[in-house]
Amino acid sequence: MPDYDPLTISDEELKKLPPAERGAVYKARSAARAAGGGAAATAAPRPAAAGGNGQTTAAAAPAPGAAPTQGAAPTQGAAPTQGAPAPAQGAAATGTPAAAAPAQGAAAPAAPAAAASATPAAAPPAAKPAPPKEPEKPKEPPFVQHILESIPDSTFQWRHGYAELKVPRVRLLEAAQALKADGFDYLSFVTEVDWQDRLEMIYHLFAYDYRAQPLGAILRCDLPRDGMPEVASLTSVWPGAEFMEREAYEMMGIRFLGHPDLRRILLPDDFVGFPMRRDYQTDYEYITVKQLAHESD
Amino acid sequence: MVDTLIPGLGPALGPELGDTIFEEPGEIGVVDEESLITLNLGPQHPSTHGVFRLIMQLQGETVIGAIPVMGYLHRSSEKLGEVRTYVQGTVLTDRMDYLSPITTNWAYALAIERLSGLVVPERAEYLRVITGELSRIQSHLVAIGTFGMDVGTYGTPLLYALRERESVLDLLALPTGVRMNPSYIRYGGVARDAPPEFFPQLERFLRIFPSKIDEYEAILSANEVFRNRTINVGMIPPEVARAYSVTGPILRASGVDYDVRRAEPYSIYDRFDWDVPVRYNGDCFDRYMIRIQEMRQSTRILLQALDAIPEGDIRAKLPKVLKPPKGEAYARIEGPKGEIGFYLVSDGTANPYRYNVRPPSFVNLTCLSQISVGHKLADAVVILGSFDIVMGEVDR
Repeated sequence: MPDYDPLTISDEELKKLPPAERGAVYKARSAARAAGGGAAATAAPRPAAAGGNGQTTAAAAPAPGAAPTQGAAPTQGAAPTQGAPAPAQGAAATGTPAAAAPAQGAAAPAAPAAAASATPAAAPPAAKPAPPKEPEKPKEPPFVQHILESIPDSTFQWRHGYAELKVPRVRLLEAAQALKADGFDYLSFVTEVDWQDRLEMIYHLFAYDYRAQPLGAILRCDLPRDGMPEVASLTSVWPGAEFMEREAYEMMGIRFLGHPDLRRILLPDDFVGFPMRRDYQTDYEYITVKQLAHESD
Repeated sequence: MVDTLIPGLGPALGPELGDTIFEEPGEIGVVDEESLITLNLGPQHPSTHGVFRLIMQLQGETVIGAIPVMGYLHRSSEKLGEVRTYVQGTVLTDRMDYLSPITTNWAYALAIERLSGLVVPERAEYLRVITGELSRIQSHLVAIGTFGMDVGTYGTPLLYALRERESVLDLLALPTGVRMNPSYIRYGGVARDAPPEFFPQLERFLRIFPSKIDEYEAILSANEVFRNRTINVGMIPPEVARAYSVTGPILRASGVDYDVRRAEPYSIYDRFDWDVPVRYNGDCFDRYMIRIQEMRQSTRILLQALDAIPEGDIRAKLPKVLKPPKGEAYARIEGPKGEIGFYLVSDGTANPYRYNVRPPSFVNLTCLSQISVGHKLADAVVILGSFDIVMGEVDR
């Protein structure tokens, strides 16, 4: 039997527990909350019956807070979700920290009122563990946390159900290796966008073992726009990037360092300029000369 | 430093000078400069399925290096997509994979729908699945027919396959109106409803089609010459297929169970009962067999879709000129050649800010030279045939 009480254990202690025991704590808490919530709805006969038992009061006190929590959780969880499985779990967990904070505020004025009817000495311990402080359910999947922890200045958001990570240019290769280690062995698409003030590389990643890793990830990094910006080639991580990076090289003018064979792939050898940049001007003389040469053949 | 963009031939991919290679079983040859031959295969060669060029370095008949050269059919579709409206961009997608235009339409429509949050009516989803699976069958028929030509079975299997392809094209002409380049799947739904005579004709076709697949199997799968030319030729190990971002039948022939219809079900594919065929040898024969089995699975999906198709609208309520909100979206589907992806950026105007395609044939070609090295020249042609590339999609 565990040497802690699932209803009063602090978050720090909870984090140290093995996952199986943590699951048991969540279950015990939700059971207590369900019992307390039902009691609160029916004009709270439960705390009265419990009398001086601070423990039960603690479990029941969050009940008023729990109702708004459930209302708040979908808005918090649903924004990034859009069909992604992992965030859906976040929405199912009722006590995410942001939602629990107002619950604590709501419970605090209620607690003295409850304490006034009981002994005043019982009030502080009752108010302290009042909101069922679920340990923060990881909003981000683990692979995102790895990147956010190891790479400073990296940002994260959900986009259409994919986890989108933005890293500084110099750390791109490192982030790619970390994602590959977390199961993203399928580089689906390399694309590049000219935002007029900067260029951006965008890599869409998935896992061939989709049962183990159903999520998709988007890795992005900004590049300066002047000249031919340089960025690390990801062919060492995913060799399938080879042709797509060659296309980015000739269409957008991005130089990939460490690419095994960086040369043109689609355009003629004497073509000048990077046609997919927004400020590209069509060279009509080039087209005319090509046409004349073609006709004289 | 500004790049001069001087084209080169790239590094040698195969053995270096002085290495020993196996000419015949038991016979060892040495790579020396005098016996090296550089051979241009293509761009106008019938076995290259369009205008695709392979610069082959040969030692005798053994391939030492193979460098793919492409771009002969480049029509700058992505640049054109930026100056066309969203609905005009659909027409460009037809010209990419011209053997199965409807699936490319579909990927483009999905990306726009993700961008602007359009909801597709139920009947349109069913029509999309029906026409999409029919074009998968049509594309696979061409693939196995021309593959037979590459192996040396003159005429007959190709004509058999084209016979059924005619039926499929005639069927597709009923809802779409045309045989080629239909632009049928558009954002928000499909272009036109299917006429009532389409469904009984489709059912009649689906009832006889499995026996036609048996015919191809009798003439190809059981053919000793065909088997000798394809079994254990051009084997792609699963780890190579994974590393090189290979998708589609080539990937599933290498023992990786990955199909976008299963991995990330789009449209209504999660409602049907069907299997993902997987084979484990990774050679040319397995790639051919995967296509045969996928046609049988498509028939299964089509029969279920035919039973369940509801009445109703075929198009969502659309504005006259679609201007999606600012944002970007990536959508992917499982095409006959592999994963077709579309990346669109909207800046709030009627034209896409960025229009970028992930063509499956193009990405699958990345591993071609690694696979061809060490085979005989005639086998390299078979390997290229088993990849089932479409140059309209590779070059765009």
